[in-house]
Amino acid sequence: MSLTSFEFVIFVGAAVAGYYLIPKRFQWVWLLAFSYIYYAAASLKILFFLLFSTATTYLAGLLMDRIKEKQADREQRIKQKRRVVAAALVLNFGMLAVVKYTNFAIENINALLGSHLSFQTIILPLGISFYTFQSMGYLLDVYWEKVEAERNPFRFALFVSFFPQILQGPIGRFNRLAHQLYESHDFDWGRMERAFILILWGFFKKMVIADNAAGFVDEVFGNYGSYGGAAIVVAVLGYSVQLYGDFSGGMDVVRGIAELFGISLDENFRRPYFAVSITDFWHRWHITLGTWMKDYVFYPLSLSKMMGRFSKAAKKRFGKSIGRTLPICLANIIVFLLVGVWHGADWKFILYGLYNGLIIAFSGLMMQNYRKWKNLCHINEKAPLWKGFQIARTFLLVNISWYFDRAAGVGEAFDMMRITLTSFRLSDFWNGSLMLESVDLVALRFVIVGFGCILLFLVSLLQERGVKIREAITGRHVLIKYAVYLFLIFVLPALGQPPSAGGGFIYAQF
Amino acid sequence: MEKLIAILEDINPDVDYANCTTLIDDGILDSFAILSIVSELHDEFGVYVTPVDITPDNFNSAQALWDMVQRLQG
Amino acid sequence: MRSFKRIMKIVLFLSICLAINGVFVYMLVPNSFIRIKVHNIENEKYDDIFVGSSHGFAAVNPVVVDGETGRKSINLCYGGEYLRDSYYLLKDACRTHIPERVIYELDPGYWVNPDTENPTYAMAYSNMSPSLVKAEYCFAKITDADFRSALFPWFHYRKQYGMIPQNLKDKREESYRNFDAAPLEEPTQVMSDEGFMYIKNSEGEKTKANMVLWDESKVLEEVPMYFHKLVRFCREKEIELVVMTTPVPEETLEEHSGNYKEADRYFAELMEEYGIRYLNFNTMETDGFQRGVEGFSDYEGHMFGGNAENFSRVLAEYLR
Repeated sequence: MSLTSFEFVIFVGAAVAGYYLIPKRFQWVWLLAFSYIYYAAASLKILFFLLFSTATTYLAGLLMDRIKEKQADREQRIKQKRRVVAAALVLNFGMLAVVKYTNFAIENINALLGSHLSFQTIILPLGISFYTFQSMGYLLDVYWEKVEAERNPFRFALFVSFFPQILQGPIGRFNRLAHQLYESHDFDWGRMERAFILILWGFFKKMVIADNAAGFVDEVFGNYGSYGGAAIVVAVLGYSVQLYGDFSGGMDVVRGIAELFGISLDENFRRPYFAVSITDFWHRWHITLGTWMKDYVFYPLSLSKMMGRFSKAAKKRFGKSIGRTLPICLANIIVFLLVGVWHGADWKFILYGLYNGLIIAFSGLMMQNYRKWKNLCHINEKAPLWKGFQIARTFLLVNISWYFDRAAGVGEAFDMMRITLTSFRLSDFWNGSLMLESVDLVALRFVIVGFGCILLFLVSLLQERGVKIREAITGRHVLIKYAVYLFLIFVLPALGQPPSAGGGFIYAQF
Repeated sequence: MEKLIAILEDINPDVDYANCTTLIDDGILDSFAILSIVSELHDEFGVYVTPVDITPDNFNSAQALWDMVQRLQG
Repeated sequence: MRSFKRIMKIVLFLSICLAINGVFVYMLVPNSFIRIKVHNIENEKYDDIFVGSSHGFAAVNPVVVDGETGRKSINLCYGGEYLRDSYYLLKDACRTHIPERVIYELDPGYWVNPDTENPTYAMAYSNMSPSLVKAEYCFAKITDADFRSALFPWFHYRKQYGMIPQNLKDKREESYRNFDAAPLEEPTQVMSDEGFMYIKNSEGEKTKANMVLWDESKVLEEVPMYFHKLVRFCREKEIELVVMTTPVPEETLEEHSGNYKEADRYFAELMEEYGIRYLNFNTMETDGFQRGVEGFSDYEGHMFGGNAENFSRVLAEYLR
């Protein structure tokens, strides 16, 4: 069920209505039922994958807790738990890898060895990237004894399958999410109102901003050979706006829906384009993936014995400062390679990850030098001008990364960069060439996207200053409240665009 | 303890480590800094910090760090 | 009491939404053939009902057919009417009066090309009067659509804000309230009150665009399913079901003879399985109308009005 379909509206309506009518102690069961109905409605066949992950993770968790209780010998305990967690990780990530990367592997093996292995038709099970990460996070939390394994298999099934987040995240943590799912919630008018505002705002970002920008972006990225650098730059900026509107809009809708049940999902976006560095950007963009990588890959990898040995050798060779930073840089690059790979089975995503990883690693190495230079130039870190420079610089770096993310492939990405630099065609900005004929009502779209961005910018600015916008709206006089609601409701069909061919939300395909 | 503060100042100067209790919460120490600190703690005090130990409770202040080091030293 | 106040506020808010929505509908949704057809089917009694696609829309003149058969028929076909739509239109018609016969104009292209959201997607639905049939239709079709298509009937017309003055003018006319087809006349075509689209003769190049060729591997799951439902429904209500395929230009048949022959075979077999009379005018050797492209407005299969009336006469012979 697509998030924008009418049947999904009816589905959520039924789920919410029932949730508050049934006895409180069955509320979590109701959620479980609806989550499975949602998943089964998508496809009965791929339900198998969800059940497989749920079962293996549940059993592994229980097993490890048992070992923790029964095994007195510390060495043995660690060894046995390690076997269990390794098996479960291999099974689940293995399945994810097979389903997502088999054809990519085949393609590259063919290219490398000249073989002719045929491609398999593999359907990507709905949400597998998200629920696999979420349950593996739980598994590692149990392994590290941060949480206790969930005893009730049905409660655990709900944690894995909770329907609002299954399509595109956010990737939740057991210690924050589970108890909310299982607790009972009272009906609260105020909360319902705030949740609806969030949902409508999410749709605004998706339908009015992202879907309107998509036309221009798709056309230029699809036929970049016919356009100059100016058009490409506009398309990349448009993609900046489209991807943010689409993904964060989807997140708002999902979080809003969860809030209808009284459940708070983790934030996935925090005004990413206000970031002052690429590091900061990844604390603001797809936050739950970043923190997942940090807690479950970055720290464990950096603190592993192997890294320890590398660190010792590096310190000997390069001195203390660089020596201790190099292993962190290496771990960071590995993490971002994984982030790239997570996005999809294509070399361009690997480059995308590498690009981000290298920038962060480099700035980590240069940290002390940067400090020296800033002091030399008497740069005041807190000055607005400096901050503005940092934001602009980061925005530029991020937009360069979008070439890799959005272009059809690596070759195309580099091609487009080359055209941007060598044949910019500055005059395209004022001679009307940007009003592409093949994009329906292109001038109007520019206006709508521009209007949407201004509104988005103002809202983001307020939020960055700490203003709680939804509370501010619901607290106002009823006429103002109604005006805002009516605007948000009617702007969707009035200015919104149906999704581009291929439909739906961009991140729902992972 | 002075040793610890010296380490912290080397990695991330211009912070009042004697009084600050929100090193993590306010984002003063990022993950690079945290791991650099861990590396130095190992060299200086011989302690092994594991991923489980990296929590705001242990890293929010110099005092909390010192408590953790002492705990890990056994 | 607090709850009551709250509920009243919500009711008030929803009423405002409905009112605003109504204003947008009034301003943006133009008059349409489908609106008139649905009105007729819900308010008149017909013996024969023709359902199907734009081919049937252009090819069947009920008045001519009735002249031979002595029955009262209506042409319910329109461009974009899929089997699912025909099925529910028939069910809607049966609320008023159960016809004696249904003739389903089968265009093979509609069995291999999915229904997509466009202005006609929800048009028949939104023009139907509220009933259980409409509710069933909603769950069968509208729920798949974007919620904006479902909740805001003017959504697909939002870009035609330039038409607002014309729409406002049209809707104030009596002919609009009387469901006359005359105001919809255009230079190229005019619809009769019985639902027949007379395409006026024209010179100039004929397009080969929009051709959807038959491909058995692409048959959509739901179309045969709705055919089955249609057959069963007709049996239940004792309605005679006849299936026909209107002729396409000879030139097209020759150019894509492979596809058309396979389609012919597929449907001949299917109709035999069901025991249903199938009039495939592409394989039947009848004359009385022009088979060459000079009788059609395009290569796809939309007849000129004059040719269509001749065809209707021939068709009537088989429907006597």
